[in-house]
Amino acid sequence: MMGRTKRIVQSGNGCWEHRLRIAALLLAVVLIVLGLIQGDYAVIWNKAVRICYSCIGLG
Amino acid sequence: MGEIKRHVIQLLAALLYNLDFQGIATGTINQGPQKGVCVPGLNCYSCPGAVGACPIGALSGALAASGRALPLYVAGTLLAFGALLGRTVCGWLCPFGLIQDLLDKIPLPKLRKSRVTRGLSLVKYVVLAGLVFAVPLITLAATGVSTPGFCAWLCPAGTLEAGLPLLIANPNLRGMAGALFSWKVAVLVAIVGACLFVYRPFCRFLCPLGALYSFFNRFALIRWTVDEGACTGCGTCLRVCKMDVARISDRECIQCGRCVQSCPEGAVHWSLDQIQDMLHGDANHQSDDAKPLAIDANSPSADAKSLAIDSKPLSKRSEYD
Repeated sequence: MMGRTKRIVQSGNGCWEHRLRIAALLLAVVLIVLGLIQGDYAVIWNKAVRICYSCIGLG
Repeated sequence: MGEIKRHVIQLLAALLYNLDFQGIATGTINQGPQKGVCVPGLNCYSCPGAVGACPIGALSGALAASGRALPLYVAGTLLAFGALLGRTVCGWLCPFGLIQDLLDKIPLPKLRKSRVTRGLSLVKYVVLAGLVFAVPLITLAATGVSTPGFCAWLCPAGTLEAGLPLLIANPNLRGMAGALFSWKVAVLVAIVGACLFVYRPFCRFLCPLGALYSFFNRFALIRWTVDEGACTGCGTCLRVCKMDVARISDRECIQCGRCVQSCPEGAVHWSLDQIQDMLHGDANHQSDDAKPLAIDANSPSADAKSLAIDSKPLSKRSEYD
């Protein structure tokens, strides 16, 4: 394989993509924090620690 | 060598998601405090070994619990996975993806990709909208009891990782297996059978998690990208790719890296390479608006197909042109 070029001109790495990524990650953090405050983790945990019979086709 | 490394990482991810070996042996569900943390890949939380939550199962469960269209914690988790990894999860971190990759290695005639398979890849978005979102909300509104449509009616990972192991380990559960379980086993058998003749049929046509991550694939932090300065537009990467991609890192790309090994110009790189350039003070990177290279007819990597397609850079050209 060829060595990496000194400066890589890459598709999909323009300014707007960087900003979109950062915005998405910041929004993700905000959503997770708000979700935790609202008690979403407990909802998921309560479901995850029990056999989901309908999920596996039983019952 | 790259493929072997990828499979090793897939296997490690599968082990990491299912670290409760005692649960596997005894047929019991892990109840640790970490069980509410979503893993990035499709891994049923009813699997006896699972130490985290399935993101699709968590999404359906959260929708059922609150009736809200957007469960914040799960949405934020999926957004984080998507923005960081996109469909790199599919290619590197999904246990069911690993199973399909291994089944593909069995030497049998394979269905070639085409415009038809590219079109069928849209079905997974219908699965996402219908079975993951609509069915839980509609059944909750209609009956007061939510049905996790995808998990209950389609998910082969749940049958393989949870249903069958639990029935094997718990004889008292076997009496509960009825028509729905028979249907799910039939779906699993059909998908496993399809894997022998079609590359990753579940990922390409049915997986709602892949559908979700596909929205982020073009700008995820970790993905393969094309150095347009080095790309000659030969199209080798698109021809060797087994997914229904129209360009590298589009919605169908699972970031497996097969294109990297095939590129004669070494033009495919990890996106982090540019970030490394930026950290080292290179502020002159170009955007997608960079002028596309004209294909040099005298270039040894040019071929009739490339010339017929005209001078479009690889990032703008489709395998289906």
